Amino acid sequence: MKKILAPMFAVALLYSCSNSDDNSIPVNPDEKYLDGFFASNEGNFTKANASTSHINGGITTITNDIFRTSNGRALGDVSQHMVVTDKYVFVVMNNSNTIEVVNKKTFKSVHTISQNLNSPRYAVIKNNKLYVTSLNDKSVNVYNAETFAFVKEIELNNTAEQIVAAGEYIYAANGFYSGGTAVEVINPTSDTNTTDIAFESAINGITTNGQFVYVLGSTDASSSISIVSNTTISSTKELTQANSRNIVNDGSNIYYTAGTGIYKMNNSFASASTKLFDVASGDQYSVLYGFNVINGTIFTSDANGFTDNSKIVIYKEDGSIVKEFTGGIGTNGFYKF
Amino acid sequence: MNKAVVYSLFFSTFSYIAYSQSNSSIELDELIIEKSKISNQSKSQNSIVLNDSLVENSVGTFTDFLQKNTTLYFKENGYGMVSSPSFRGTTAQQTSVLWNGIKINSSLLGQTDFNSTAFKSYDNIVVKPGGGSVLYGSSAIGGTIHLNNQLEFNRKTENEIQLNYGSFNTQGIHYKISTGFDKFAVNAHFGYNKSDNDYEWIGKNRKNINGQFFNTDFGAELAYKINTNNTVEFYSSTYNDDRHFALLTPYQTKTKYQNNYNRNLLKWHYKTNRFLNTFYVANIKESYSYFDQLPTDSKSGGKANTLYFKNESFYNVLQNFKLSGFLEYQKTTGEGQGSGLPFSTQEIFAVSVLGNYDFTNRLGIEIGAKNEMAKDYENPFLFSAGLYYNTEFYQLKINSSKNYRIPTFNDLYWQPGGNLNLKPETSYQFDINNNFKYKSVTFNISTYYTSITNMIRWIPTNAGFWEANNFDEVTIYGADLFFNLKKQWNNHTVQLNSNYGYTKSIDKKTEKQLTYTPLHKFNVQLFYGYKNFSIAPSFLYVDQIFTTASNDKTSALAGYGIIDVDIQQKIKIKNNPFIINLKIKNSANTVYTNMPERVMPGRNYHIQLIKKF
Repeated sequence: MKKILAPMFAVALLYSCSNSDDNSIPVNPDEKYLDGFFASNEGNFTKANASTSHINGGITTITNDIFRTSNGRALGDVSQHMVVTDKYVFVVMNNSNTIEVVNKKTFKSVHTISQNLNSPRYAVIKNNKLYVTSLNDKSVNVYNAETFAFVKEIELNNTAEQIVAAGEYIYAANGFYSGGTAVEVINPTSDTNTTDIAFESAINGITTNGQFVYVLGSTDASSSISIVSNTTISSTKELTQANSRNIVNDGSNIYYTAGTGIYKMNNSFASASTKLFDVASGDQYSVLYGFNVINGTIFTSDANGFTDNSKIVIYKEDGSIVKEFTGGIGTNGFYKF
Repeated sequence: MNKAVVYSLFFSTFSYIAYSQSNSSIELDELIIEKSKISNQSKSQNSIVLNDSLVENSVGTFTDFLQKNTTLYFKENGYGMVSSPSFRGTTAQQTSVLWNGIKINSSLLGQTDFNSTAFKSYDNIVVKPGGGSVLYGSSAIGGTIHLNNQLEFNRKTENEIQLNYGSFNTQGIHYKISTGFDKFAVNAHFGYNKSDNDYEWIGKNRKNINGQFFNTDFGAELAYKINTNNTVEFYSSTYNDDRHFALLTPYQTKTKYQNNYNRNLLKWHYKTNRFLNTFYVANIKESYSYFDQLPTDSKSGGKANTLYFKNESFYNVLQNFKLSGFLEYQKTTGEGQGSGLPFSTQEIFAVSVLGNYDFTNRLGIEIGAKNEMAKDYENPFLFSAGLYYNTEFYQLKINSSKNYRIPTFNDLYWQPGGNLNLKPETSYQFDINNNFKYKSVTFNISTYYTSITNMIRWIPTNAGFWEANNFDEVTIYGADLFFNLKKQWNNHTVQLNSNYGYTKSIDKKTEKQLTYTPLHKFNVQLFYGYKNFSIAPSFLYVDQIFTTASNDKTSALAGYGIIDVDIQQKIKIKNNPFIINLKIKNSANTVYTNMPERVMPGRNYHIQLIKKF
């Protein structure tokens, strides 16, 4: 009898618990996104079929096309990059020349930044200001991250792609097609390009742990990662893989990819990198189009040659698959909520 | 007005499938040169002739014209923007366009932009579904489209002026003069079109931004009869356009595209009783400029220059046995400007042999073979074979062929990503055409099967750039139906014209319908004429299309139906007859797209004035 009563009691307790919810603070039914991850799907260039997906915190479900669901309109043409803050998500729409600012929990549009944007690529926030690089202009545009007003244009020597904030500075890296091979440093107090850090070859990517900046240089022949401290290169590590890409810092580790392989290295550079595993090669050479490591969980996408929705595969470090999803077209990035 | 003239105008308002069979396929008509010769070159395939009256009475783009009158499907990047055909479920590069008998698809891109084609300068347009690479070379996989000018000796001089004006400040002027003497025949023509193209995006609360375009074309044709055996012809055509590319989203960087071409062709016919030889020499120049950041003059571009020689010989071996042979040589140079295409040269040499044999005056067969040699890739050996059977009421045409599409300059030489290891796209096809004609009814049904391998696609590489590769395989089967009915009594004329295309175009990897390829396309036109007045409502239906390879339902663009109404009145003020056409396009104001997010125009009106003297 006791054995039967105990579960009954538990059930009763559950009911009473759920009833007690009526007295708690009402939940905004529009606030559908409270944790987890966002995935950016860039779409086909000139087809305006970019979208955003949301993956829940338990990595069990994906919700695609959340911008359209919340706003009743398309996101735009080429969703290149996203910046997630406490309140907002800034979605950089490269070929639409806009940055869609949405409420992070509802994904409802708050504002559309369009002033002075010319093929925007990547963005970062520092001191409540949004810094945006451009494919066409040799400059970084600054916007107020609260009012979204245009503040100023910071001139650079060459166009910049990826941009990060670390320590006292903003770091904008010259992209593959820029003609430059430097990381151009911006002082956010004066909002000017104060100094450039020279590298030998085109910069493939940069990442940061908040204190140091890690710069991946990569060619057909070799790859290397350099640590930048303030405005100087403190050390450089040659990698054994050529054509490395997708550099990411997560905790005290650096991750990067080469071919279908995923590699890990302590960000102190104390030892050489180790290969974690290979992803399935796919038949259209568009594996690892999107890549990120968030708290040790590895997010990857295969863009399927951009003719179909991307395949998102999420792994543990040992290569075991946590979950596979179908994303939107051209999934190019994963962001922590 | 002369009744006969009025009727002839009425009857020629619609397209028809060439039904008649010329008994002597090699004999040149004494009066009219090149008239539908093209349709005689393959007796086992159908040709759809879109005649001068149909061309004359149309307003709008070549895309509109073919979308309405054939089973070809087009996708457009917004109205008037880049337009690509899908002929029998194939890709844009698998449709070949020929100008007075020579192929003119862009050497750089491998396709023709159907919104950058001055179709109103041609006297007739022939659409031939099905493979034709033995006759027409590369790209003749889905079918061929022939733009023909017609020269006529011993005729009276005719001038024709057309003016049109309509919604979105759309304007057009077309002028043509044709004349013919004993030994000379001359045509000259000029065309100009422009549009602000700023139509409302219904339901999106904005207009079409940056969609304005204009184009001009000049052309002249000349024939000179040297003697009873020798005739020379010269054709020249020049086209320039300037198209702003409509924005998808309102803050996009504005761009525009300029397309130019200049084509010159000399033909020399030599004929005897049993022999006809035609020698062609042609020069085709094409160029484009793309302004990527308006209003700055930042731009890139490309140009190509083709020199083409061809010798065609037809020989009547016996009354019922005919042989022909072609020799072709082509040299093309291409170069990008501010783009990834370095100066490159391509040379192609081809030999073809064709023959047809009539067992009886009803039944015959034809066979053809072609071998082509090119500098940077291996070409397959091509063949065609067919059987034809004709009675007064019924025709059966069975045809099988192997066809190909060569890699374009960009596919081969673009840096990075061009691939010198490419093979041509290759197709095998089989089709059966049943044509019925009874009294005032014509009915055709064509069923076909096409298998295409080595389809070239640019795919992303691990190194970060995209590369051309032989990647896809497609199997297509489908049916084209054509129906025509025509009745007349007293001063009344009624005509019904309808096309239906069923196209199952299956990607072998995904086993799904190819993207941007509708399963069903249907058009119907009803014509009613009374004396000098006529009204012709028409309806076009395009089935849903998918934009992802897996045919994901959320990626589908919905099917749509469009109703147009054409009204015509012939007016005679004193001795001055002229024609007024009123066109109501998309009269039901249907909202539709054939590319994601690209809203097409709602209801729009056009008025056209045609004066001949």
